[in-house]
Amino acid sequence: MNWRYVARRILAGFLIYVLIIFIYSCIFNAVLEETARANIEEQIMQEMMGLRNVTPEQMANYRENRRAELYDRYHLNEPVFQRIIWRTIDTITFNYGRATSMRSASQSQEARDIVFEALPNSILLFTTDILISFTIGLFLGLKNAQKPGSLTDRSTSIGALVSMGLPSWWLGMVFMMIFCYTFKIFPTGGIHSVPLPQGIYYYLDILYHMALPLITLVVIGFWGNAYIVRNLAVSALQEDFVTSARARGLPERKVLYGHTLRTISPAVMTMGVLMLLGSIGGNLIFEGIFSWPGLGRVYWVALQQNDIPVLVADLSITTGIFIMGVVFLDLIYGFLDPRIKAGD
Amino acid sequence: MMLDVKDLRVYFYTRNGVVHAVDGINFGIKKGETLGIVGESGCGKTTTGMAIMNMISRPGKIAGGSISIDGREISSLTETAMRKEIRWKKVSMVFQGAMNCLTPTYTVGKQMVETIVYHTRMEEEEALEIAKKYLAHVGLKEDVVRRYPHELSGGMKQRVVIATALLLEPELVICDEPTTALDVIVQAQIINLLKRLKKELNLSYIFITHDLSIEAEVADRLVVMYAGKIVELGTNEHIYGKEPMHPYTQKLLASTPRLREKVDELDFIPGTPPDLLNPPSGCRFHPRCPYAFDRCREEEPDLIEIEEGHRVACWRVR
Repeated sequence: MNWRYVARRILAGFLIYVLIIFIYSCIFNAVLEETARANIEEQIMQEMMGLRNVTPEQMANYRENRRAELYDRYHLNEPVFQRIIWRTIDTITFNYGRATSMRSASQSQEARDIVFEALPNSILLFTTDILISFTIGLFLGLKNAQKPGSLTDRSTSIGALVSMGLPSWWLGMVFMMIFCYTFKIFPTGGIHSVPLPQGIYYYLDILYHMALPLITLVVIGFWGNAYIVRNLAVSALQEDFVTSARARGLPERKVLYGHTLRTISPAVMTMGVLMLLGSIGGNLIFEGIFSWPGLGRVYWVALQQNDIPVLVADLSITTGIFIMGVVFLDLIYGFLDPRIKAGD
Repeated sequence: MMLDVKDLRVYFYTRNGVVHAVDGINFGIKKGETLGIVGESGCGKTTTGMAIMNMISRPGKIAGGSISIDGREISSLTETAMRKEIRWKKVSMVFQGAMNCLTPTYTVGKQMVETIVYHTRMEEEEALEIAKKYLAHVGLKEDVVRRYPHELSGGMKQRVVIATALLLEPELVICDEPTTALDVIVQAQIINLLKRLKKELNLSYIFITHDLSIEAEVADRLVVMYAGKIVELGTNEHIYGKEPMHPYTQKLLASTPRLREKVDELDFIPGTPPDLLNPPSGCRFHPRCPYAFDRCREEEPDLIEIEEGHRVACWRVR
């Protein structure tokens, strides 16, 4: 591995991140400043309530001084371009400011807390989903590729068409109707029971709440994975080196899971990682349906309540995760396929 | 006989009908002998080679006949037994377009070692030594084991493929157009290498090519195929020494470019090989044959021995 290439690639990723955050800052600057000003006024009002034995002039004076002081601290007096730069720096250093109306589960008003509380929930649900549907898809796809045109192969193709056309949130609602109302097997939403169970039951409770959204995602997801893997593998299996490996007497297991899978792994890996990134970053409706307290639901609520600081926090975190994922892909290509020479 | 092929038939069952790719051919190879198979594209040369490996892919099938190696019938073996016991241990193959025969994501060493370890249950270090030994045999440096195929030149890859074919010391190596994609210098090197290895290791070859000049160089005996059938079979001397007997062989030789002789126009055979879905009646070559007469159109000629070790399927030589 070429370490200079790694460093350069990570740096490039970071610069792209800064650029995108800068663009966000330009777009949201006016609203964010308005929020900041409102917060300052509120703070001054509270401080003034604590003042005793002061004349109205002193009150007005205090307000003026305090406002100037705080505007200065938050760089609100500077020209607009510099204000945007300050906004960008704040966003990159995770200083998103206070939410206008949303609260985190621990009653924090900081936008940062709200987003960082939601992040692990999204990661938990969607990583588990991708791991399961990816594994099923991989094995099913490779099996189908061995016998193209077989019954399982054709049904997988049809299944992929149907499941790709089917919105996951719609299937979620249908499943919810069946498994939560008709047969009361699963809870209708959320991630915890009330009251909060203790010890090992805490985790089992999360699993229990995660089951139905997970089943929905896997049922809808693995067909597409299988279909993509199948198509990649079918063309790889036509290659001369596969014929040659078979001629060498190697067992089919080694030919399929070794030579073939290894060769298509960059494409398969790209598919998996991009799918995961897409889900973590923005499954608004799906998380909404299951009241899953993840990033998608934070988007949803922030949009509804016009909570711009939380929205910016959510956006910058999902952008960051996405860029990290893409940089990661770039770096592992070199390992997966020696023909992709890093750094040249 | 080391390899004995009797009445081999390979049919492809396509949607449009049955393609008789190889239709009842007989030949044998003795230990240490090189058998050349020549013919135009699509006449069944490669299919014959693949049939001996029992690797005919769907919708094709060995429809009849027998292939025996050292007296053991292999056409009825299961795929698993075939992979374990015959392929590479008894018969190995250098494929057409050997350039693409190496897995691009594995190092040369890894694919060689994998093959040895699977067949012999040897330790990896030991297997690596064997791999290095055969790489040295084909004139490559030891450190090639650490290289990936894309880091090697065409000639080097071809050598690696040949070394890989020898790893388990098979008795028969099927070379399917082993030099077609190489320039003449490398081609000559590879041919010399194959000849040297044959002497050193007492190998038998089946040498499949459409290049008659290479065949003249390497083959002890030759099989000339046309449209899935053998039209002439004889020693190198029979085919190249005097005038060959079958009109197809004559034409094929006449269309080969000559080095020392200026020819105004190279001869060629008018028409194309027949559609194997509906082969012509009688002798399959009769539509393109300048000497064809009525009997050729009606009756199929058998492969008749006209002198010791020389067989021809043509009505004219009766």
